[in-house]
Amino acid sequence: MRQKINAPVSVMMDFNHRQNKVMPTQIQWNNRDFKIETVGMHYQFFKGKKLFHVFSVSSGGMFFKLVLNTENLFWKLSEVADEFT
Amino acid sequence: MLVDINSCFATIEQQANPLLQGKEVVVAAYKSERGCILAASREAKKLGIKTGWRINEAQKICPNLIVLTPDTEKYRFINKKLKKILLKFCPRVQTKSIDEFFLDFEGINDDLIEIGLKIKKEINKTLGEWITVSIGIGPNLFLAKIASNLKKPDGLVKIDESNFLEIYKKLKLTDLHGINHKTAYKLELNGIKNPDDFYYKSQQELRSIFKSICGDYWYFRLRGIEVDDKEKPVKKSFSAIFSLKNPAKNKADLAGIFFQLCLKVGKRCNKQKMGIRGVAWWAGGENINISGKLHKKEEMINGWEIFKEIYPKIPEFRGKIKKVVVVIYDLQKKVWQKNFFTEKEKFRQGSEIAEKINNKYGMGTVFPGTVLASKKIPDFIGFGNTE
Repeated sequence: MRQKINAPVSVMMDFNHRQNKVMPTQIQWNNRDFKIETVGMHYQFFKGKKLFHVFSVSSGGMFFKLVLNTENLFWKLSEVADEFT
Repeated sequence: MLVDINSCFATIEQQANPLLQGKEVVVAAYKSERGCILAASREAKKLGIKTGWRINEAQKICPNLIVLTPDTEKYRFINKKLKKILLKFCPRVQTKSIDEFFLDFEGINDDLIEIGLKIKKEINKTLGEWITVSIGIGPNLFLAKIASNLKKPDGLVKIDESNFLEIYKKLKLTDLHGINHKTAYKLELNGIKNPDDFYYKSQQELRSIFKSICGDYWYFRLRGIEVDDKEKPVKKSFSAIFSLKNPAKNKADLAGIFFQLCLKVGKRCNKQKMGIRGVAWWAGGENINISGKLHKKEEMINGWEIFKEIYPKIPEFRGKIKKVVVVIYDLQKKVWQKNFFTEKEKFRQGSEIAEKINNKYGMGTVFPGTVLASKKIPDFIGFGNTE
């Protein structure tokens, strides 16, 4: 099942200055920790002049779409899906 | 060289969500039964599911089909990123559509097959392993397009003087880009049964079959002479079209849709720095057609003005409207002399400020009160040229 969530979420990020790589490593949502296994895609878009970063990630058979608002640096969990969707 | 992303929207979704990889996925305009499929994944295509089908048709073949709706931001991002990659290999890159690019290597004598392989490798590294492209190499855009269609997915085919006739023999007329069933029928009536026959017709014969300069264009295209790749000059008209998921039952329902279509065509026209003199619109559905047009001496300068002019002219109706089209034509170089004392001037200034606010804070931040209660258009990507 795929579900729009659009709720705040806690995200741990890792920035590697040698490889120039930024990626979320763990999220906490619904009192559960999910260790991120794969970052499928990272892209950005503008809404007006606000820049958002989107990370499509998966963890233990679950898919999460994480959105970072660069204006206030708040994270939101935009979408969740299981492996059947 | 033509670079075409395979099953574009579907593979991008599979790249973003690894859990979808290897599964039958389609991206459709709507999730409802009659939603039109915009892209099918390789796995879905293997079962025979094609772009343009309805979801319920595809579900008969594949009951476990995963249906997604388009995520336009993602596709635009990939489009821009791919263009950046291609610009590393060729200085002249034209975006032909959301998933197609034309690279003009004229005057560059490098081995194009080798460049094609490097492009594939770079795409694999930068965009992800699941996103593949078919690359067609040819002496002109037309033959490069044919070459890109010969092997899908992940193909790399070159058409040149050594193999083009052999390829023409294997193709049907409708395999040629630009030949639909109607044109193919017309050609068959004139004794052209396949691309091979088409090639052997003289320029004069083709001109008389097409009854226009199109015959000459086909004569050159089939011989690998470029007639299509020119950057288009300033456009003479723009149109925007939208199909409604739930039909509109009254005029107020349509206000938001007309407004957004007006903004869309207005914005495209503004990019060319042109003013608008003519507008035509059409809305139709089950047993109902309403249409109209107007032509003004003084130019309209943006979507707000177009909407202000046409909305009062749309009649109240009974019925179910399913499709709305707005076309602007007679575009003139914008010569706008400010006159601070007229009502029109106030409206112009107001609408320009509203456009600036919408550009800064996002579309739909400021809108006319007439569209407050009506249906709105979700963001969508057209299949045509990106201009």
